[in-house]
Amino acid sequence: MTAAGGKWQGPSVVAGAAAVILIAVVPPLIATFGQVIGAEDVLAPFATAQLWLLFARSLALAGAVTALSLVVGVPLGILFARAHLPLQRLLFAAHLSILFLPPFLPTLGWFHVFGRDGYLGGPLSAAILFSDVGLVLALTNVLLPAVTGLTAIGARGIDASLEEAARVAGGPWRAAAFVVVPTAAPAIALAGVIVFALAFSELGVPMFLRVDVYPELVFSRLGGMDFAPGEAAALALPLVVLAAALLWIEQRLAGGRAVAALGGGGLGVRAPLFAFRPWMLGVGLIAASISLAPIAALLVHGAERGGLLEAGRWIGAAPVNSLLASSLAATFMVMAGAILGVSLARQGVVGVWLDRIAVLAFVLPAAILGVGIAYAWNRPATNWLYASVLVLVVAYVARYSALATRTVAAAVAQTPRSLDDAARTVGAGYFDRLRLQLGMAPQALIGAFALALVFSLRDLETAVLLYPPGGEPLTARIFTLEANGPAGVVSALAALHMLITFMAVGLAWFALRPRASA
Amino acid sequence: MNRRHLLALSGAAAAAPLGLAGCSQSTQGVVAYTSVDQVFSEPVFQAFERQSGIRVRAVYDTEETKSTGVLNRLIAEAQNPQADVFWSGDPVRPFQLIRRNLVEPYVSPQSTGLPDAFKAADGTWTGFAARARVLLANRKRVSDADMPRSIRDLAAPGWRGQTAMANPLFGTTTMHVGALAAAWGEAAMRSFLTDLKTNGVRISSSNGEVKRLVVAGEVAFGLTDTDDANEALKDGANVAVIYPDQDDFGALVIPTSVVMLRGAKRTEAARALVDYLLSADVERQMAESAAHMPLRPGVPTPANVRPVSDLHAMQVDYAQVSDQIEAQQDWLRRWGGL
Amino acid sequence: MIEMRDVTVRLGGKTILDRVSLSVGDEVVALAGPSGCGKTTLLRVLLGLETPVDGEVWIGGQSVSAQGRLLVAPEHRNIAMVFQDLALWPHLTAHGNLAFGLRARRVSKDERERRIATALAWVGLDGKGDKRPGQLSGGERQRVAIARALVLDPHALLLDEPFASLDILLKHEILNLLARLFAERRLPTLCVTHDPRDAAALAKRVIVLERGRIVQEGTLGELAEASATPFVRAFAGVNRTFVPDQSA
Repeated sequence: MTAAGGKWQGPSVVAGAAAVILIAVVPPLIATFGQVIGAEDVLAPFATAQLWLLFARSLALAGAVTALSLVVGVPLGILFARAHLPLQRLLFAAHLSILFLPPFLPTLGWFHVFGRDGYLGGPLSAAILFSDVGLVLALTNVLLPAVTGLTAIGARGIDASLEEAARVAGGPWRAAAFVVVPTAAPAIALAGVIVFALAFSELGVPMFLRVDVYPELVFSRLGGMDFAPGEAAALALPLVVLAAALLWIEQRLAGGRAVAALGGGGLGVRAPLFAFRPWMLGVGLIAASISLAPIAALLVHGAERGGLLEAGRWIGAAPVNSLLASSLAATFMVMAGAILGVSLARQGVVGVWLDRIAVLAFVLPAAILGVGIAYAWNRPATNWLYASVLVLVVAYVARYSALATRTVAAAVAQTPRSLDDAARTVGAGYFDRLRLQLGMAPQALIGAFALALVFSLRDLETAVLLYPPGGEPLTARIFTLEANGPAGVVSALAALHMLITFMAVGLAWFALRPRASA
Repeated sequence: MNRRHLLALSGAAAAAPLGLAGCSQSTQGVVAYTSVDQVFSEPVFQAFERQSGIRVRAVYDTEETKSTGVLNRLIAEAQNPQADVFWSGDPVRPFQLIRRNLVEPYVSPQSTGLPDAFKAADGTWTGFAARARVLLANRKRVSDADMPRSIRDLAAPGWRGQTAMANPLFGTTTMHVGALAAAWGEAAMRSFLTDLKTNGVRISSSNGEVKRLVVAGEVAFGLTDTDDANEALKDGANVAVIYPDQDDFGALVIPTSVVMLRGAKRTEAARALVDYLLSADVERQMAESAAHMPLRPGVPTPANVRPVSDLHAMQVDYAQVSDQIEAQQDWLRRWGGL
Repeated sequence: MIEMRDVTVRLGGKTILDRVSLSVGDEVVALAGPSGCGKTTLLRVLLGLETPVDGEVWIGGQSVSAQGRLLVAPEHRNIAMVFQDLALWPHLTAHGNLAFGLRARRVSKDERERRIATALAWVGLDGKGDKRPGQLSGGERQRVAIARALVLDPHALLLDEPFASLDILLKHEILNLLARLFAERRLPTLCVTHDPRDAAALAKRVIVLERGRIVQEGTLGELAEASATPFVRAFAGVNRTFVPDQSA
């Protein structure tokens, strides 16, 4: 046991972690909303009913995506986490894979399948695809794995004795429904927030499916000939309220509940809750297929039109650029998130307030944050940062730090505070206690790093706006080539992107996985 | 995670920025932003690199609605310009930069062979290698007899709900709408767009998606650019390309254009790139790869590229077009339901 | 009646229980042994949470596990357990904790409420059904755990170190409670304990497990007189001072 560190050890470490997030998030937010001041007549659109109708419509669509994702994803997550399933890891990985891509690409794949001239399409399927229903289904398809994955992490993390007691008293189904799911509520609530925020702020898919959404209103001030960041920032103001509402809802659903029981054996590998049944394998295969199908359609379409083998000619250094920026960003996010996540889980003031700021940055349309980053960091004094890959690191941290912090918080929230208290009483210093808390939730770091890495790798809107000349990441390259580039090249690069993400996440898992104790 | 992992991560995270900052902006080479599709522009940059030995660090654009666009990135970076050269896919975007005093005039020696209508006398912008706005029709859905001849056919009641165009707030469609306002007057342009809406024209997010919809048979025909149309033909799609209004006001010709940016950090290299882009060789490359029409006389073009001299082009003043675009933004947003 | 016949359990390549045979009739039997000897695994086998690779398990006259197969699932064995850490579900009230198993057995609402009220009253927690575990004291949580076990009217009861985290007064309270229970119900009960005084207070018979094998069983006196191993000698040799309060 180490002697307790100085009394400033903890606060200074927390301050350091907070600084990482604040430096990334606050300057662009100030720069973004600072544009509102001095911009002319920016509040005029708020007087129109049309704006509010569009806002309500976007809320409803995002709500539908979230509801559907939760209804399907929570049971699926329980299945993957607590059932005895052959090929479980493979099916789970396949199911998660669609999350690695910018949503537009899988939607394009579904277009090749269900479009009027698609492989399985006709007028009816095309009419459904290009409608609100099609949008909800397409976004659910892409975002569902976030729910599945986080539910699985939450379900695996609960105290084994709670689950076993419920299983003995009520059987596996009641145990899953009334004990595992409620106890995994912090992770599930986090998934709901992520899905809602991403569904609401998604732009490419609704525009492709010709569904009007609120972010289009914001984008029209940033993406057209009339560049009006002040107006765009003003239009983003309701999203501040939205972010606050999301936090409030999430807290009501999952926060503030004490974990009363101590776990014995809750951290190790334990027997499945559900014995194998053939239908479970069927469900797992379907879950994997709905993720892989649109990618396969993209590849088939690309192969038919040629260019698959040309991908090597066009790839450049994009994969390296992607991995470099994303890995570094994920590292910063996990390091800061590990510290701030524990603070958030224990309702620390710093953790709570930084979480609010980070969630706001996550909910804001990416283009707004991107412009804010440009305004904040593109100065002669900080040119060393802005003109290098570091600007992408800052951008990813600004946009996705909430994911890493909250993943850690959700896992730590399920571990008893008494264990930290016990460590404190025996004189353990801040770092030892931090290691203890994170050690009790080993999946938290893996999950946090994986989420941060996946979302950084798949980022498009921020990356395209900020990547240093000659240093474009792979997503940017896919979409710049998508404009009249060979369909095969786009498909091949999309598949390569997925593969790279898998490898990166796999490496992270290998490095961070808990080792068997001696 | 044990202490060693933590220390290793901390060390890497701390050291990386130092190394990466050193890889930041270098005084070598030239930085070019372009809204010409990467699949066409990157080979041109690579050819320049081979010829001159000057490295080009490029920023490319996505389709209109996948990102805020390179132009707006330039504007957002105005306080500390990163780019030296902007190669625009149309001649009106440069006016946005000129208006904001972000352009450094440069009259390239190569510009002498280009028509006066497609360049500024003071060297603020120079046009070359042009596209045209065309109608792309799906031959399975449209017979030869029924082929559209004019952009007004998009509003013909017989084609209700079966036509498409890209969102007029973005991309070359913005320019087209601005050109119509400049040529017809604001009232006539607005009346036309209102008719389009009444006729159920499907608004896509980009010209590429118009192409996609036409090729897939989702719509009968749509309004797009020659390079998108050419890609559809190259893919073997069963489509027809129509240069509209050849018996009337003509088809809109959209030259690509190049500007040098004020505050460019690599002036010599920038001028070399501008000179190269304006050369006959680049017009030839763009004709072959992207079906862009050379504006310089005598540049060899493949059979699928219609010479601009054979085309009845719409008579436009690009400065006026740019003014109209700005003037119509609010109305266009309302028209689009935003 | 609880019966194990030549039960062997292997986990991770190690033999945790090695041909264990025991029976527990309408009595309380204490199960003792050094840490890591397999006591908890033995309880888990009875619950059905571990499957033996060999041997048979019988509960209430029914074979529930044989020849390496689980014949009756845990939720159908009607064995109740008070876990070492209580395992009270923190998001459910005391009432909810008791209702969970009754709902699973499709007990009617009236009958359910009656049984819950009776169980809570029996353990002295009238009026506290609406409290969550976090709002109850340590002793009250222990009582809820016991009530949760009893409300299901189980065939047998397992106790995993029920007094481990209690102070002396609380322990006496719970001991009295359990003594009253055994007097009223005569439920086959297996109680894991480290403290021979608790074993003496509750059980007539003690089974000692070491390294996965039963090394000796009998009364404490018999164990003290002819100890088979040093652990047995140490366990049985400690003075017994607690006597249950017969008037409670």
